[in-house]
Amino acid sequence: MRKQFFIALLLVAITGKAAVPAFQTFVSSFVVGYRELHIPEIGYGYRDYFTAIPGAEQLDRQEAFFKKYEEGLAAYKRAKLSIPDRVVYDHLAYEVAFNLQRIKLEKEWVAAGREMPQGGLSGLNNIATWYPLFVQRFTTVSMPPGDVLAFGEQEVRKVKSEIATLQEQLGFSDSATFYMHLNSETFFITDKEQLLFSFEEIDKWVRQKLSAFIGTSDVPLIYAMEWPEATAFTPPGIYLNRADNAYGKDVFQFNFYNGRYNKRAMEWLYMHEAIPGHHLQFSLQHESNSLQDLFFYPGNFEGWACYVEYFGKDVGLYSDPYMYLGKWEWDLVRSVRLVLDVGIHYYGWSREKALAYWKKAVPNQDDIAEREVTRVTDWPCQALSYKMGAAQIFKMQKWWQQQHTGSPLSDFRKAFLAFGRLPLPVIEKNIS
Amino acid sequence: MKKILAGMLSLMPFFADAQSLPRRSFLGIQMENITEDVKKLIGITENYGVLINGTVPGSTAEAAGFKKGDILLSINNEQIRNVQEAINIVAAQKRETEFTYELLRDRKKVKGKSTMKPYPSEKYTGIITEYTEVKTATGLQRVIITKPEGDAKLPVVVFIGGIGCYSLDMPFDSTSSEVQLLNKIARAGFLVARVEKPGMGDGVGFSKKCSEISFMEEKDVYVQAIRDLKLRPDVSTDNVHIIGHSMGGVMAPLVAMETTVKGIVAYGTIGSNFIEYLLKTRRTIGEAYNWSMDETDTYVKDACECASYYFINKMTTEEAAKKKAICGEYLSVFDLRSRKYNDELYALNLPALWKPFTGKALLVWGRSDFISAREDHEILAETINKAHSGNATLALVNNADHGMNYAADFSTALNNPGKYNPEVGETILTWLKANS
Repeated sequence: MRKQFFIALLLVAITGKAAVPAFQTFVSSFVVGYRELHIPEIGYGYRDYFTAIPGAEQLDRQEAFFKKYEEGLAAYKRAKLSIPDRVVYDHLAYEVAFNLQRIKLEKEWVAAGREMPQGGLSGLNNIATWYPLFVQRFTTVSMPPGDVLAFGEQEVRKVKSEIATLQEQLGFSDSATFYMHLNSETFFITDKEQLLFSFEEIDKWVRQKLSAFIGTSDVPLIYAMEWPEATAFTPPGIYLNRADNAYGKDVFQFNFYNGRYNKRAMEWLYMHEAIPGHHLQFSLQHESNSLQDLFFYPGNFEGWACYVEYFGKDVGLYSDPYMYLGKWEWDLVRSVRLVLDVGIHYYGWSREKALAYWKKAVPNQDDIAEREVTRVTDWPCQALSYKMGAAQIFKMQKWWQQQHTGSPLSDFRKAFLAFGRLPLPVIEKNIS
Repeated sequence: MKKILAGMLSLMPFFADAQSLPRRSFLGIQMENITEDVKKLIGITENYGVLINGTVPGSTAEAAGFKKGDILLSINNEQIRNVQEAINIVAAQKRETEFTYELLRDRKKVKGKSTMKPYPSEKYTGIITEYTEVKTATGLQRVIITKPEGDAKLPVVVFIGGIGCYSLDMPFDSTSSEVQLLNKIARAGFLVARVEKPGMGDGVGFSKKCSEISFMEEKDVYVQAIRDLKLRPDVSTDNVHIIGHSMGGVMAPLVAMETTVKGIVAYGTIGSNFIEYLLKTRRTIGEAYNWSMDETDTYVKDACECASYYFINKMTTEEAAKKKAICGEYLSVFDLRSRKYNDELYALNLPALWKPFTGKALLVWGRSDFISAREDHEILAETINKAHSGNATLALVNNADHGMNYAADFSTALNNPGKYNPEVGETILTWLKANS
């Protein structure tokens, strides 16, 4: 003890600074200090977010904390850290940079009188800086608003083209007849037992092909059940890990409102909520560290669940063109949400303009137009997490394929999931 | 009389304890109904019970060792079939008394005994919370007071809630609009009193349920509560205001006829006869649901016919449903209160109630409130100002719904309202300060 004290003193004498603590100790002190700041958890509603922004004094404390860790990080040479520590280093650096930008904007907003923006974010002073912050908050990706719009419009065109191709393959030359057919009762399952049985069948097919997809077929059982007390406004499904429910089992719930379920939404929903989507990702999760436990990144886990939906054919699904169509129908909703989001929150679209865009872009789904525009208005950038997250994973996959010629995609997927639910740029930097 | 009181002083702590209304019992579980899917999933055959999703720290359930995933089958040998029954059975259990329970844990029945803890108290920084009570013909009711610390005489605000039978006792929901609004007022130097409805919250000794009492019986509770408040040494008796939320705004001028109040704030209230109010707001409901004009017109027409059966011809919901089936659905909401409550409400001439009120009035309407009508607030403001020039103020709050929450418009208010809109509190507090 005496010796250690002496060495520490000597170091101070030579360098004029205190000794740099071990990296793990540094990270642990960040975790403790972060918890003590009681920074509100990420939420979807922007009004709740702005309401929860603390006063100037508390923001100053937060700023001092993150600046301290920004300076502290500079004392470590990333290249000299172990490989796992480099990931932690990048994660910490990501959070420090994000939070300093957040605090800067929040301080300006508080100093200007805490005026709550109405009908979305577009009324905020400095929306050009706020919007990218919200984009990053939900997707973990930095993308300028103009690029979000371009990406959204490109996806809308692409998905509509896929739907048009399927329409033609299915023998419908005119859209009115096609959509009338899609609305017919034959597509709606009203017998829940039949629906549960169908989900079990899908589960069997997917598990048979899973090894080739992800390099393992060892995924715990997942059970389908009706979402209790669902309404017309309840989303199509939700995944509930056993840690988050009282059933003692991993489940996904489907919206069986009014005793009806659209058959075309069975396969993509199973892939998204169950396997290889959320359930697989949560089941294969490598041990999380205390830093990861502080944060959650929808761009990662919604991005993954959206990414896998494109591979239905690889896991024995989408052989029925109507099931494949169902995937694209919902993809269109997600793509249109991208355009609506940047339109409403950055370009200041009125509700009427947003509704008009929806009605023009999404055939056959007028009934959910109001719900969707309200959702996008109230939850800025949340809807971006699916497609922007998936696009980022596809970008990583492309890079991986270039670097690992001949290596199966399952290797990439395993490598991706091994990082846990981290910000996508952190994974991108380290996946090599 | 004074002598008798003096002689009883040494017994006062016991006397006070015996008279004071205890906190109700607190089991402290989050629970869900057991659907057929849940039964199948967890492999049980029992046709009763509720699934425990979690326990509240410091609760009876936590102390008894209830766990997430347990199924609560019965309390004191009374079988529980659903969440509502569980709530009712716990409510009937006296606090600090022993009770027996039966759980299903890992498909095995577990029996046990525990003692019911009292419901937690609300605690906020900068203000104190007192649990007092008012004794009325309908029973002993809770009055929750929040105020700054100290003995100074304070201006008073009495909050009267809406038509539903619900409690204003909210230790677990400090973000609710009511708590946010009333705490803001208390922190500004007011003594704020929340008067519970008969039979709700901690209330005891009721011969009738909240759903069975009449409109005037409920009004009597508020009158008595204000009279009692005026006896408190920390109350400025000539500086009492009422905030009436929704139907509370109808109660307020009636209460003011029997005990003097300096001012009334009515938020999201009614200002025309009840059938007219219903029809006006069926239109705004149609807007909230984004119905076409022709769909809304049918809805308004049907609501008109059903309301006539119920309020004019005095038919029951079932009788009206025989005349027109949809009336069963449209009128079922009125069955949440008693026939007498609804008849007494319908008999009122609302502008006439406000005409004799000589205090100041603030009529507040949230622009996203599709449950009350802007026009009704205008009618009341005009009525009051014609009778007593300048006494009424009309305030319209942007982005506020019927529950005082954020909502950009009617549709958002229906589908996805936000949390409390502090603009409501600012509007009301500014007016209260100017009028106190």
